[in-house]
Amino acid sequence: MNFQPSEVQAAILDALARVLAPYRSIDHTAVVQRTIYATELEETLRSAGFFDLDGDAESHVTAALIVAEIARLPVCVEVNASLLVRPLLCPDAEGPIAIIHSDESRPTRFLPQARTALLLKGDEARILSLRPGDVAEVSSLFAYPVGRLEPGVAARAKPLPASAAVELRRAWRIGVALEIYGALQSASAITVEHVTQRRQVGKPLGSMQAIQHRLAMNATTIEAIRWLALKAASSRSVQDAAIASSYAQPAVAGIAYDVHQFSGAMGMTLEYPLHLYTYRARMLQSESGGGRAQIEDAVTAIWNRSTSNVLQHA
Amino acid sequence: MDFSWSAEQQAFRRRVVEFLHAHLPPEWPRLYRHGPGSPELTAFSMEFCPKLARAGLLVPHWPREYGGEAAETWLHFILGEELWAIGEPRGGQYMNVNWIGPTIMKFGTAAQRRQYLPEMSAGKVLWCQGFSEPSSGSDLASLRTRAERRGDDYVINGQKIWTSYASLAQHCFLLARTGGEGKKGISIFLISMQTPGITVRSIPSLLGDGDIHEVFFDDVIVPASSVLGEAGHAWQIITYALANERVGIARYEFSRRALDQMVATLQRRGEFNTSAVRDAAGRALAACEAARILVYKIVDQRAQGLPPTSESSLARWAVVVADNAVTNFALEYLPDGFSDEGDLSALAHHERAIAAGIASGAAEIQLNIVAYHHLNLPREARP
Repeated sequence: MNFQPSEVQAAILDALARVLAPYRSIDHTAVVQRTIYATELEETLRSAGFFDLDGDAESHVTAALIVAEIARLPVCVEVNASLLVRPLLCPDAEGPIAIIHSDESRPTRFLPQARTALLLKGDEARILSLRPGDVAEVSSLFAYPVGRLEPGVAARAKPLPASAAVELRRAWRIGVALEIYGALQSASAITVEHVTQRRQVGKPLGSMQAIQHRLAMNATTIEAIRWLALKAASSRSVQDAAIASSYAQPAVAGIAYDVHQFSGAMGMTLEYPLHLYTYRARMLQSESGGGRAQIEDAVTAIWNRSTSNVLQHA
Repeated sequence: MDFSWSAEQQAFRRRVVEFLHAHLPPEWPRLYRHGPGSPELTAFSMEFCPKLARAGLLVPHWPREYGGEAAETWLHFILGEELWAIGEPRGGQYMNVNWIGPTIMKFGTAAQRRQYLPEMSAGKVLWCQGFSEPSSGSDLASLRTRAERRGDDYVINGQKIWTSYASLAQHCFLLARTGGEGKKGISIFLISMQTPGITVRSIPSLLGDGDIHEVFFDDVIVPASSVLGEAGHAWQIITYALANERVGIARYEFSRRALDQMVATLQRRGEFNTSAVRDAAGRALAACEAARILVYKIVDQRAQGLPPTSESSLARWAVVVADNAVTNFALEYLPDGFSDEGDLSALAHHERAIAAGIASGAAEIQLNIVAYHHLNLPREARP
């Protein structure tokens, strides 16, 4: 048991931090868009080799660490599928990669940028190389670029091997949990900053215990999401991945409410970047079937297998 | 970054589990239905802990000079997980092992270490913790029990409350005021509970009879040599001690296993089929595993020799949430488990879970610590 990154992972995270530095904040005074896809950052990450990780055990955890860090930015880039899924299932697939769950016509994040789509329905996973004109952009509240496949396009998708659906769902869930972690961590951080500076009735909002305790509870949840997901990446266990996502997705609603509530009317403006985090998290709530589906899968994975927790330690 | 157990850690866990299977009596489920502070479990622990000690399973993490095997931190924690999860057959002696012994090792005089540590490592002694007072619970720094210096002695007067194990303990790790107001006026005394002037009264409670007590100190005379560390330096010492204590109990493991058992009961009855019950179980499951991973992070910090941080309070809060999620699940879906005729594990879990947010420092104090030290939020103005 070792929660510290390896030397290689630490070096990669250091290099990543330098790449991400210019993207960590955005200009508060400008009118911010509903979503910012950082094409330039994606190209920098690609040319620096961050998308070239293997599918071995350590690289899978490294990928998870990278996904978590990038998810903390106000801008977004597709990394979940490209870093956590692609090396395992389709190493030759061209990124960005969008994952379409269940309904092929479902509005899906990153489809407008995607070169590849992975279609997951029940026990079946398929892969689709996208061509110009395959995707229609969809305007949405969410802070991700969203699109949908044009009718008939999904028919070109080719089946992946039989075991691919399980592995795709497992890796994707880990990524979603880490993306939720990153978005909520940053939403919480700017809220802490706001309630520290904003004074009402002669004192900072953040000195009030009613606010402190909710932020403290949220901090606990956010930290647990992170470590459950990293553990799942390390173990590659279907059960661990289901537990991580079953903990992460249901947590979004309460924390998103709190950070907006504590930010007051400021949090509703597009000049203030809170929505760039919360409206990513709110979309992530529904990925892979949503929180209830994650919980059901975790329950099935754990208790249909065995009721003996002792076995998990072996 | 690696979240798996090493071969040595897995072997150690198997050793502990096998020892428990071999040495716990058939009536153990009825015994552990009572809490660790109950007279029943305390009496059992006084027989059981020497057996653990002889097997090298009481203080494996202590240095060899104090009866341990200098085992790595994780082995101590695995031991605590298995023992707490099975109902804590060490009774109140888990405190000796987890923090009273290590605190005496770090801050005690040579004479104190000689006097107290051998009997702890042999599993033959029970301590109680004289911290809370009627007017000083979460605000521990306001405690009023006073120790006045008279020559080579101190004379102690005051009252403690909510003290676990007090009626059966041989010794008390006592906080008393030797100086002025606030934290700097407090000292720690290591005293015998047989000292004249100490009166113990049991408080009937939801935790079970005999678990918590009031302790009265009326002109209790103890030698000055019973002070632990320097007089007036109690706060630094108990901060060290409680940093170990906050995640010292593997409550999430007991909760997880109780939940497993509850689900098994519902499955046997054909009542684990609705989405409502499965959803509630899944949420409790995730809460247990969230608590586990945050506690493991603290243990990892300790194993790496890093100082305690406010992250201990994050873990403590997660543990409280998990304990409550599991007992709430039982209350909603297995209410028959809360009678003496039902599944005793639900009852045993409940009586431990309801104290989870109170024992070792109120959960709300942990949230304050997270707010101030983890999030760096401004402090609430004091009147």
